[in-house]
Order: sequence, then structure tokens, then C-alpha cells
Amino acid sequence: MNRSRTIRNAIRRSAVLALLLAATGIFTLPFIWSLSISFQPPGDVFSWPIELIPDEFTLQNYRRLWTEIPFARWLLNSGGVALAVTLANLFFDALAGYAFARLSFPGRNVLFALLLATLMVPAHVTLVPKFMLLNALGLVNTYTALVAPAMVQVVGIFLMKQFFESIPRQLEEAARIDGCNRFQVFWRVVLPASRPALAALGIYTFQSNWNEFLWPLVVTTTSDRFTLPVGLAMFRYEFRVEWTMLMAGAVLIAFPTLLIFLVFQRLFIQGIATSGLKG
Amino acid sequence: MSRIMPLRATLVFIAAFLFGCGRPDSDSIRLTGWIASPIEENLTRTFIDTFEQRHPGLPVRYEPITANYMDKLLLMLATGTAPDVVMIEAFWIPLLVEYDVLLPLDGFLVRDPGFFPDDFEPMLLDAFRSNGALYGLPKDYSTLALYFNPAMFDEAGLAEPPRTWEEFAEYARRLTRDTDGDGSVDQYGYSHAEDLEYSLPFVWQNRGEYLDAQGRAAFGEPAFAEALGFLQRMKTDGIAVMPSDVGAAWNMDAFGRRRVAMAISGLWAANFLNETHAGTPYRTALLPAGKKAASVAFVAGYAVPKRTRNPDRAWQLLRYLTGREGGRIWVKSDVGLPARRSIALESKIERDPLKRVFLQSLDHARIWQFRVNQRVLDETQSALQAIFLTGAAVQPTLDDLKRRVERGGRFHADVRGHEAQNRSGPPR
Amino acid sequence: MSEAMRRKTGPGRPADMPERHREAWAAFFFLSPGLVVLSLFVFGPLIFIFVVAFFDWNLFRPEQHFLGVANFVELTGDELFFAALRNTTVYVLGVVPAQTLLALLLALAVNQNIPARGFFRAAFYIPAITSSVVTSIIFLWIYSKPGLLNYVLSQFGIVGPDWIGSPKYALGAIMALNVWSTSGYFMVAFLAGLQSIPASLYEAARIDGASPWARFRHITVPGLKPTLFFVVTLGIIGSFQVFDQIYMMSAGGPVNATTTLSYFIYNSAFRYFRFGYAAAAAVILFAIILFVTRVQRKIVRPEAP
Repeated sequence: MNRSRTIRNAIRRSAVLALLLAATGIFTLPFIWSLSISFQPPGDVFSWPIELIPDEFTLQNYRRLWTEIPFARWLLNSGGVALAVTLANLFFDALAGYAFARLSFPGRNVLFALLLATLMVPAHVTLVPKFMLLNALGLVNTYTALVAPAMVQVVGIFLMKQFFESIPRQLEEAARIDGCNRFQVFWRVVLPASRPALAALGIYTFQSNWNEFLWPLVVTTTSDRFTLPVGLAMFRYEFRVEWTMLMAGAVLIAFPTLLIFLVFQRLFIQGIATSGLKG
Repeated sequence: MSRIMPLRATLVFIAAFLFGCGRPDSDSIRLTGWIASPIEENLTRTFIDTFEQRHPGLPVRYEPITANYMDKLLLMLATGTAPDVVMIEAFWIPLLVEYDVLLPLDGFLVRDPGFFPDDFEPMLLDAFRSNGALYGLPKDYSTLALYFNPAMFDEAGLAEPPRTWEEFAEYARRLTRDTDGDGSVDQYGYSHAEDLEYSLPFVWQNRGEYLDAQGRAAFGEPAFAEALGFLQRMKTDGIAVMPSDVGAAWNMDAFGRRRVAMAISGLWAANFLNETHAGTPYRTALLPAGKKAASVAFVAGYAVPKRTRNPDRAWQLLRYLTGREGGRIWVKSDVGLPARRSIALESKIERDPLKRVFLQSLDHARIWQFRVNQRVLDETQSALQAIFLTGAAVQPTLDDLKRRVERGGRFHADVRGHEAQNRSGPPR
Repeated sequence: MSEAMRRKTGPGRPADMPERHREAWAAFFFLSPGLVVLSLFVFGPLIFIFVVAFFDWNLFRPEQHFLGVANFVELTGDELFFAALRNTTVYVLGVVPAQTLLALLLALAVNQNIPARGFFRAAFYIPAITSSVVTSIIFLWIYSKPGLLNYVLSQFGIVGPDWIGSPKYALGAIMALNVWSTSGYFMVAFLAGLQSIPASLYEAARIDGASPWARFRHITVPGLKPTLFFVVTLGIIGSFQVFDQIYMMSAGGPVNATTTLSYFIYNSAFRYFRFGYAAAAAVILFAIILFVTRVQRKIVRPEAP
């Protein structure tokens, strides 16, 4: 009896494994294929039979990205904006999260509920008034417009609050007794103890801002302010599509997030788990 | 202390991004335009180099917009971030004049005797005029003509391009063939594009109108429906295809891939064929005629936004872009015919077998320009897609379109406008 | 201790201010940057949208006219708006169950005792962290008439259509792309949910002789309820927001087959420049989402029994 059960288990496990392998193909082949196209010489990417391994291997598409279009500029914009937004979020979200976790003040619960409620608001609802505000301030097509609205996010406040509540109060109390004011306690004691949560929040913020499309699309008008996704979406000639070059650009946009993910996989998963389970 | 340092660094970095890194430098003249081809882009850059050499102290910054040109340009004009000189299709002049975002140029012309505005083809200059004021200057233009593949015509025993609708359909039938003998057709007579401008010559040839003289919808009239019906029948008869049917990105791509023997396009298509499908032979002819001959003329030019910081510098660039010297550079781009008659004469367009067809078409062409709003044009595009992609019945679809756009005063509700080379997403 | 007490009330501190007040002031200091940003870019716009919706607000006109409910009345007669509503409904009803189910299945499979679990988890997660512009470009190529999908189909003797170019298939194709790109994210959420179910429960059930199905039905499903609530809520909100892929791939066409509410709002504002009209549509989108998530809360109760 025990034996037949082991056999049944083995069969089931190999079936699951086979299914997972098939699913892996569906989830990753499109990327592998685009990688392959990005190394093909420019020309027809549609000639059948479609093959995964190109007959001819070239770096030409990548070279052309740097010489023919302002790819470097977009890369700089994307990186700078995502970095500024991430730093701002780490600082401000933590500040606000700390207030909700440790300080008592009138209207705390109402305010927190109000913040959580905004998670239900899709980006398109506030898109138009947000744009009108920045236009009234004469800030359309500036870095300010790209960074300012993203400097604080409710998810981040929530994540930090959850984390602060999980660390023991003794440390903070000791620091208070030593004569630190509340900000010093926060900055010298609480933040250093929150590295894992800050790392998770930072990675999440950087990644989502790097990929952001809608906001930079409406708020930038000239190519020297485009971020990478907007630049690539706007890149095409009137009468032809440079598929190999597009794919090379796509690979370069995807690469940083992929790299960060592979290095910090555990933190990614943790971030979702904390925000997910208690949401 | 050491702990506070990263705090400062963080705040400084954020602040730098928020408040530093100012606006584009105010010294250069900013210029924008769409890019019809890499050749044209390179030409624009040499053009700017030449201009800067001739005009020391007037640096130019070229900021091309590669996709969704009019969406972006309109947003720039509305938010005051537009460049000093903008490339513009004559189509948009009525809209932009109503939005009151363009600078009238008449004053500059009066003060600039060396510019010779009388040299422009009058019809093209008039396209930039509204209520008596001039809001732009033409750079080049192209009419629509018929491209045909002479090799395929030879194989089908056809010597001449079709001259009438009947011949057009008949030739298309004879050109539709199974070339490799596998039992399925792989070469079609004609490739149509669903955009309004490609059906419009047939409508006009049938004495139909998109809008009547008062600017009201005329596309519900039988003459309009008849023309579309003729084109739709060619598709249902299997002698014409839409580009996507043969896996092409647009109609001239289908022609270049040798999947069709005839297609309608402007001079820019010759450029595209030479660059992308060099092996495909082609010739051009006047469009086949219906009850009368008709074609569409697309006019590209330059204008100056009203909110430009320095109109005089903008004029310096504009007068060079559309002047005699600048015009000579554009001729080489082959995306359009020169708007100045003197340049057309000296570049001997009448003797060029390819280009002269587009010049001749101008005699019976009308300018691509309507006073309708963008919403109505998008609705029209959807109706044409329904007719040509899904085979929807022509007359009911047009009636439905008329009902949709006239309801709620949508026809004139907001400011009137239109678009021509403005589609989202890479072409398929 | 007494030293600390003295310090708290000692010189250099506002002695006459009660500790309670000082804490509130500190909270105000900690919260103010966050609240300023959120007020400017979330709360303010959320209120302002209800103002703009009642105006004829055009970016090109210096003055705005009060219209009353005219924008809403016009929406009720706008067939494009109803096409957008219909497409959005199809989209949400199709994508949310499909991505939830797929994510659950993947999570259950990855949660088995099998080799290389980390590898599979990473593989399924990659589309979720990739820019929508990137996946749109890749799938434009896959879905095109001579693209990869039709090439694969041709191996089975099927002649595929131009997926994005056909009014019949375009919306479905974009839906499939989104199921593909989001299910990895939700899979991770489900995995966390699965791992939070105490193993002792399964152990006890096994000792009681419960079948695998009974264990799934009576332990796994109730244990996953909070996660399910989270996944479905986020899925609904995300589906109502679908925009990038439509902008990149089909521009709402062909024949308005892929015009969704969010795309309609974008077009009304940034293509037709009718900001008031777009705001009115945004108000309706907001109302719909509030309603749907409330109904959803009734169906999938978040708290575990």
C-alpha cells in the first residue's frame, strides 16, 4: 500500500513537473524570442519558417539604438526619475508610516482609512485633473512633473507602517531616554533597523516607476524629456517598423528590472506577501 | 553627523530633479517635424547645418516627433511647450486657427521683399490661409497616383495602366493569380487602405462629397456610398485585399512584397519602395477616372506658434525652410514635390517619368483639408474599417455614422479638426 | 528614571505643552510631506474631477463654461462610450477569473514538493515585472499575420488571422496578453497565502483520513480566502485600468473593438481635448469601480471563517 502510494506520488509529481515546464515555455519563450530577434540583422523578421536561432548574429541593432535615436538620453531620464522617486518614497513613506505606527494623534484611524481607500482609485480617474494642475503651474514637460506626483505612495506608507509595528519598541524607548528627539529616534534607530522593509519598498518603487507609461506619456511632450518606455513607444518611422531595433530597445528596458529581480528575488516576494496578505 | 549626511544627499538629489535641470536653453531656435523616412531625417540635419553656417548666432535645435505627431503637437501648443517652428500639414490649419495658436505671417512677408511668396503654387499657399490671414508656408506636396508593377502587367498581358473604373476592376481581376500553383491565390490586383484619404478620390470622381459646401455631413449621400461600394465589391470579389490580409504593414508594403499589382499612394511611397523593397519594379500613372478625374493633394509646410518666445528668429528659420535655397535641399528628399514653381521648373520635374504624374494630378486634385473635429474623423475611420475589414453593408454603415456624429451636435460641438498621419502604436 | 523625567520637562522643551499635544505635533511633522503630495496629486484631483465634469473645459480655450449635467447627458447618448463600457465589461469578466484561476493553479503546482521551485516561480513572475511597452512590442510581433502564433498554428494546418487587425479577435488577444503578464504576480500572492496555512491542519486532516480533495476543499480554500479577496480586488482595479497595451497595439480599433473606458477617457482628454467630458466619464468609471468592489466584497468575504 505504501509502495503504490509512492508510485502514485511519483507519477503525479512528474505530471505536475511536465505541466510546469510547458507553462515555463509559454511564460519565457516570448522574451527569449525577442532576444533572438534583437541580434538579427535588420530586415524581414517575418520570413517563415520562424527560427529561434538567427542565421546571422549582429550587434548592429544595439549600436544603432545609441547612434540613431536619443536612447542614452531616455535611459538617463528613466534612471534619474526612477531613482529620485525611489529615494523620495523611502524617506516620505517611512516618515508617514512611522507616524501611523507609533504616534497617536486625533483622526489617525480615519486618516489611515482614507489613505487606504485611495488604493481603489484607478490612475485614469485622477489623470485629467493632475495634468491640469501641472499645466496651470507651467510644469508640463519638466522633470518636476515626472517626479513630484510619485514622491509618496499609499502602498509604501502601508508597507512601512506594517513593518514598524512588527519591531519592538524597547530600542526607541531607550533612545528617547538618551535624549534623542522623535526625528532622531526615527532616523538613527528605526530606519537602520528597517533595512529589509526599505529594500523591499525601494525595489518595488524603482521597478514600477521604471515601467510607468501613462503618466510620462501625457506629461512629456519633447523627446529630451521622454522616459525609456515612452521613447520606445514613440520610436518609429512613418512608413516602416524597425522590428530588430525595437526588440533591442525592448531587451534593454527589460534588462534592469530582470536583473534586480533575479538578485533580490526574495525581497520581491516578501513585499507582495506582506502587502498582499494584510490588504 | 555621519547619519545625517545621507539624508542631505537624498534631499539634494530629489530637489535637483524637482527644481533644477531647467527648461530647454532659450538661445536656439527649436524646430519640430515628423519623420517620413531616414533619408528625410538626415536631410533635415544637413539642412540645419547649412542654415547655421549661413546664420551665425542662430543655433537650431531639431526635436522630431516620430509618432502620434498631431496628438503631441496639439498638446505642446496647448501647454505652451511647442517649438518655435513646427512642421504642419495644411489639413490642420482650420483647426489650429480656431484654437488661435498660430502666428499670422503676413507682417513678415510685407517686410521681407526677398522672399517671393508669389513663387508658390497659389493653390498650395491658399491652403495655409484662413479668414484672409496667412498662418503657414508650404514646403512640399504630393498628390495620390496609381503605382503598378510593370512585370505583373506584362505577365497578365496588360500594356497600359487602367484609365477608368471598369478597366481598373477588370485589370485587377486579370492580375489576381495563383503564381506558384498551390491552389491558393497569392497575387492580388489591388491593395486598398481603409483611411478616408484613399477612398476620397473615388468619392470625388463619383461627384460625391465628404462634407457639403456648408460643412455638413455629405457622406450619407448615394454618390459617397456608391464609390465605397465599388471598392468594397473588389474586395468581396477577391481581386482586392486590405494590407493586413497579406501580412503587410500598409498598402505600399503589400505592393513592395509583390502581393499586389496595384496600389494608390503619394510620392513618399517611391522613397519607401527604393529603400525597403528595392527589387520590386514599379511605375506610376494617373488614378483611373470615374465620372470625372480627381485626386487628393497633401500639403506639408511650416508654421510658427503664437506663444513662441522669439518670432523674429523663428521667421529667419521659416523663411529659409520655405525659401528658394531651402527648397532646393528638400527636392532631394523625394518625399514631396517642391511647392515653389521656380524650383519645380529648375529640377525638371516635368521630364521625370515618376514624378511628373504627381505634378499632372495637381490639375484635378483638391487639398486634403476639412473642417470637422477629430472625434468625427475617428468615427469615420471606424466606419470605414467596418466596411473594408468586416464587410459591413455600405449604406447602413454610413447612415449609422451620420446619426452618430450628428447626435449631440458632435459635428461642430467642439473645435473642428482632423488628422492625417496620426495613428497610435506601430503600424502592423 | 527621575533623570529622564526631569529631562522631559526640563529647559529647552516646551514645558507647558502636554505630551499628548507634542506627540500630535510630531505626527504632523512626520505626516506633512506625505499629506502635501497626496493632497496635491490624489485627494485634490479626486475632488476636482467632480468640478471639471460639470464644465465645458477645453485646454485651448481661456474661459470655461458651466454646463450642469450636460456632459453626463451627452455620455448617455454616446455610442462610443457604450462600446467602451461593453468592451470593459467583457475585459473584466474575462481577465479577472482567468488570471485568478491560472495564478491559483500555478501556485498550487509550484507549491508541490518538486525540484527547482524557485526557478519556476521566477519564470512565471518575469512578465509581471516587465514594462508593458516591452510586452506589447513582443506580442505585436507574435500576433501579427505572419507572426509566431500563426506560424505555430500553421504547423497544425490552421490559418490564423491578423489577431490585432481583426475586430473579432483583437480584444481577446489583448486579454490573453494581460492574463499572461499578470498571473505570475498573483501566483506569488497565492503562494504566500498557501504557505501561511499551518501545516498542522493538513497533518491532522491526513490522520483523520481526509482525501486530498477534501483537504483542498476544507483547508486550502478557506485558508486562501483573504488572498483571494486581495487578488480579485487588485485584479478588478487593474483590469479597469488597462491602457498601455491598447495604446501600443490597437489604438482602440479596429472598429472600436478595443476601446475601453480608460482609453475613452484618455482620448477624450488628450486627443479631443474635451477635459470636462473626459472628467464626466472618469466620474462614471470611479462609480463603477466603487460599486463592483463593494459587490465583490459581498461575494468573496475577506475574513477567514
